[in-house]
Amino acid sequence: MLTDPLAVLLRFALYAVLGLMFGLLAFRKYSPMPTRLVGRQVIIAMAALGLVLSGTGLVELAARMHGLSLADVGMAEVATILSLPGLGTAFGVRIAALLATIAVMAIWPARGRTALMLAGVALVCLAFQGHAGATEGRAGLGHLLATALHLVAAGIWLGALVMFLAMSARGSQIDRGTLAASLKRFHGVGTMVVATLALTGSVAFLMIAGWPLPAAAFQSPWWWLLALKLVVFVAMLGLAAVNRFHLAPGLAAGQVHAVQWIRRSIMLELALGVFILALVAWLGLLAPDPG
Amino acid sequence: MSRLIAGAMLFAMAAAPAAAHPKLLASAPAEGAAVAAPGEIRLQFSEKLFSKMSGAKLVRADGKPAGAAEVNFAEDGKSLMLVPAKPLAAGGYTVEWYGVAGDTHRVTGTLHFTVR
Repeated sequence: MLTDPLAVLLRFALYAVLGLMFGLLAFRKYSPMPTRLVGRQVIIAMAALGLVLSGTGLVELAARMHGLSLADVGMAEVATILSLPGLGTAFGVRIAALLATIAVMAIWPARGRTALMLAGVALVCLAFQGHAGATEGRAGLGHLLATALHLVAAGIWLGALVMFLAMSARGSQIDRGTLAASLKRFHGVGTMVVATLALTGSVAFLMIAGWPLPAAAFQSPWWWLLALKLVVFVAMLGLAAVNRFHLAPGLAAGQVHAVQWIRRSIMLELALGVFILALVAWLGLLAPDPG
Repeated sequence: MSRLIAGAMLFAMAAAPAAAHPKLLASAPAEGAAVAAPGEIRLQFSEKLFSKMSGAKLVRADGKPAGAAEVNFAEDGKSLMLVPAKPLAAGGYTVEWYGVAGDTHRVTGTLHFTVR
């Protein structure tokens, strides 16, 4: 079942790094906080890691698709992958976007919006790896769009969780007022993120599984992993709701241990989010039909 | 907003299910068939295959060389044709095929038939 552990690991790492990089850049746009928490070195390091992962992923994919071992992959096999319409182009665009992100952050660090857009392009290119890249025609375009929005929304959530964790960490220089204001600012963004995830997730599910649901539903691991993903998603929603309706107002009202509770709940929410990324990394390599 | 949601869901429900690993749907000759020497062996798949990473090889069941055979793909990319350079001699044959489609999953399989 888990025939390609390296492929799953690389997909997971790419979702995490590119999603987080986009989410951190997005956070700087919608949240009032000192930018020193996420310096440009952090973004440059993440983009560089994204490049290494993408290069490794390209070789791994070439090996997997050609039925070769990693050591036997040559330039010809890599060139074949890059020449594939959609998938190959997306690889090239992603690598170019990551290089451009590094250049922008190194030369014009104030150009946060340009870096955000470039990081978004790199993240969205991941949609081509997996089920959305395999759907044909106009339906394929819809599937890609849904997956791209799903990635963007997930990235924003991931970035916000990491930022809130950093801001509520022990020894953080961020005062309670800034944290409370940041949490409050995220309320609207968070609602949009959850709505987008629910809608685009449902669309992608229907496009992969088919409607009406096939008779062979739940006869392959794909279904069970997806069900587990949904359960974890609902748990994240529960934690986010506790944060929004209970902990954040408590912080704003000056409750003594509010920061500590927020830190704990964000930590748990982040752990669940990372678990979902691992599930998705695996899900994308499985098919819903048992054959 | 509700229109957008309804539209998106209808679009998704109307689309044919995607993203299955490619599967061999049918072949001529069929699996296990005994036939007169075929001019071509045709394999029909469920998904469009990447021709650069898909193919097939003809081998004889008794281990003797089966002779050269050319591999072609139909325009829709879903059918693979194996055309032997010379008429096949009587005996058992195995087609060893492999294919990769858009979901990047490499599948392999075999097809057996007998030439009378």
